[in-house]
Amino acid sequence: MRKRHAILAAPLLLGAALSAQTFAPSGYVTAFAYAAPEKSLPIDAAGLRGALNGSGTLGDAVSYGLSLEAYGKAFDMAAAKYGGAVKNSWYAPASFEVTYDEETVFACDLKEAWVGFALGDFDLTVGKQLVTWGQADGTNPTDNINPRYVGTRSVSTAAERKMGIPMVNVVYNLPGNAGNVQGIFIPYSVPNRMPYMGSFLSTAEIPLDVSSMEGGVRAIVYPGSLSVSASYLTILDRYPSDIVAYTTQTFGPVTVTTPSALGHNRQHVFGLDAVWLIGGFDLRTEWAYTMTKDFDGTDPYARNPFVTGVVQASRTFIDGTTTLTLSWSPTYIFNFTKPVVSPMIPVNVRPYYYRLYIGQGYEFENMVGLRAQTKLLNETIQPEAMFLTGLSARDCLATLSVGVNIADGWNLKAGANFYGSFRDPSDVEMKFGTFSNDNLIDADSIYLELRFDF
Amino acid sequence: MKKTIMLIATFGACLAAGAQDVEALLDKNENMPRPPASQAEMRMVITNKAGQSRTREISAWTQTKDGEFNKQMMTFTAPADVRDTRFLTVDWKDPAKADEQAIYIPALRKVRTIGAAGGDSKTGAFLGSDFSFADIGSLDRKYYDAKSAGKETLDGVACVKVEFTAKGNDAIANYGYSKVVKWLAADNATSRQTEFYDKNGKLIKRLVVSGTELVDGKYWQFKKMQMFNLVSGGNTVWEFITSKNLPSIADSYFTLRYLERGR
Repeated sequence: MRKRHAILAAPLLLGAALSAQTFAPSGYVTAFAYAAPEKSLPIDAAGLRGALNGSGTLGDAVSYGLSLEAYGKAFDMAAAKYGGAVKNSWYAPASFEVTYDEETVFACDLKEAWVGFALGDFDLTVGKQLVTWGQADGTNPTDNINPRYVGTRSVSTAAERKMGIPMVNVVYNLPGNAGNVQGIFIPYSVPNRMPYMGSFLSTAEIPLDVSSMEGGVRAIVYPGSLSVSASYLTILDRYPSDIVAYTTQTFGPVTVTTPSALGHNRQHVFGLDAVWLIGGFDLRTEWAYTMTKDFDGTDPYARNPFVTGVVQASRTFIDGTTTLTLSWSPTYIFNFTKPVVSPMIPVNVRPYYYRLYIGQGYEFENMVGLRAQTKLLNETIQPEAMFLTGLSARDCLATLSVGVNIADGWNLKAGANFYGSFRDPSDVEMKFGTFSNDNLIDADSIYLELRFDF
Repeated sequence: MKKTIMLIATFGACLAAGAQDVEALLDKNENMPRPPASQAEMRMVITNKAGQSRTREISAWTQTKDGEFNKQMMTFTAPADVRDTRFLTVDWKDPAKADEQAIYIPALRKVRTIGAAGGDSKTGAFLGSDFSFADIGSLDRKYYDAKSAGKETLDGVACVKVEFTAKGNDAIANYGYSKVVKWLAADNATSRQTEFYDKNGKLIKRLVVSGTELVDGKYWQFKKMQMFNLVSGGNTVWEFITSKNLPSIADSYFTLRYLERGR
């Protein structure tokens, strides 16, 4: 891990050296409170999160950016389930975390630290950074470059779930606003930050060698009212997707071999997306074919290759103040074998096994959704409602939120997320549903956030 | 040449009318001198019906090539929650080329093109103001018929009224207006006031332009414009804090690359 911090330090120091030219500080602080009606505590999480940002330039050719993010959550020592220990770790390059009872209670993360160079028609950016791919709204099958905080932080926006990672990012800008071609190189893989999966299973550290290098290319063009991009990305699965170690235990005359450590398989992601503004509709589509290690689908503990996509059609009404969006998001699993819920699966592997099949529990899943957004009083009040349902899993997610711009720089947001299933509670297939799995089915939440930008 | 009526596209550029005849008046307006480039710091104050105000500060650059295009890049510099939002407008004079509008939203780190009546409709409000995205661009005369609507004196200035009527539903879908009426000063041919009517013919917005002056001896430019939303009761003041005409400006300011990176 020390080597990884050293790699990161180079662009940081260069950025600091250049800061004498221009420097523009900014940042935000958000106070948040989340209530979980189905949990015993009235307030599930409350705390502060925020960031200090700085960016600058040296002439027209060199620029740099820094972003230091912090997250702190109050915690209840009396509610400890896993022994209540305080632990700290560097869980990613320049990212420090303190956990209490296996939950994040404080984190400080150098989210971005990069230096950019404009070299003719090329833009070169080196350092820890965020890169966004995909032109669909909200659901982006091709946007897999940056890992995410998955269920470890209380945040209401997708952008705040993204983790910055070190990479080299080169963009060639086509003449005449025609588009660009982008190449990225990631020297080593950083996985998603996941919740605690139990004491039986650990996650193997990703080696700092050629086997963990990642990279990709993307081209985007803007012919008229159409916008099209194609991409290829090779990464290690951001989720644990392979068993890399086993333990052998002897119980009297019986010897049992069970998985004890998880790793991350290589994935190749081929993406295609487009936006077309036609006939009063804003049409967006984005598709990704993901090739995994278990191409023939014979390993029950590894993810199968799959294709997933989204088609969205938006229409704006009432002088542009109200937008309705219909979406269809299919996922097809190749060489599919129906996952089983069986006593034959070792008890310590079950959480992992179920998680592996979230989103892969059905050969062909169709997610359909409807979203309504409106803007009132010069966009100072922005309510939004969304409903998504998986037709095979027969589960659903409903979200409601309203954002209120109180004053310049001050924004209040209140919302609720409800997870549900149309299956009988005793139906074990609920475990494979995107919204009805064990992690989410009882995770309904109501939240309130006050954000100040400066 | 595509006949357009610029609403805002070039800083302070105002419509000119030198004759009673509307076509001659508009032809002259469309060919009135514009600076080849300009840079400005602007302030937009959005006030709702209850009197609550929000302020946006904007840095902007323009580039004009007579007979070819008008380009504009705006960067929001304050308040912090909209900082680094950038907006690019390209109005092509060639009727065969579609005008371009694109916005960069820093929270999403994405560039989005603005289309006609789509999810990012041109008829939608421009960042919460009483200006629509269509207002920031130009009203294409291929979609509107123009005729004289008489004379009227505004604040002691004799004006010629010109009425633009939508030729069809496409125009209304694109711009949100079935009719636009402009008051053009008879003496110096500058725009003084514009009224906008919705698809049902109801008057919904009024734009008042003030502080018009001749700059560098040949460019008519204004200091301030105020859009009154007659439906919501709110209004938006858009004023120039500083502005400077330039002999030229780099093309790189008006690219998707600049829009996304700010450099």
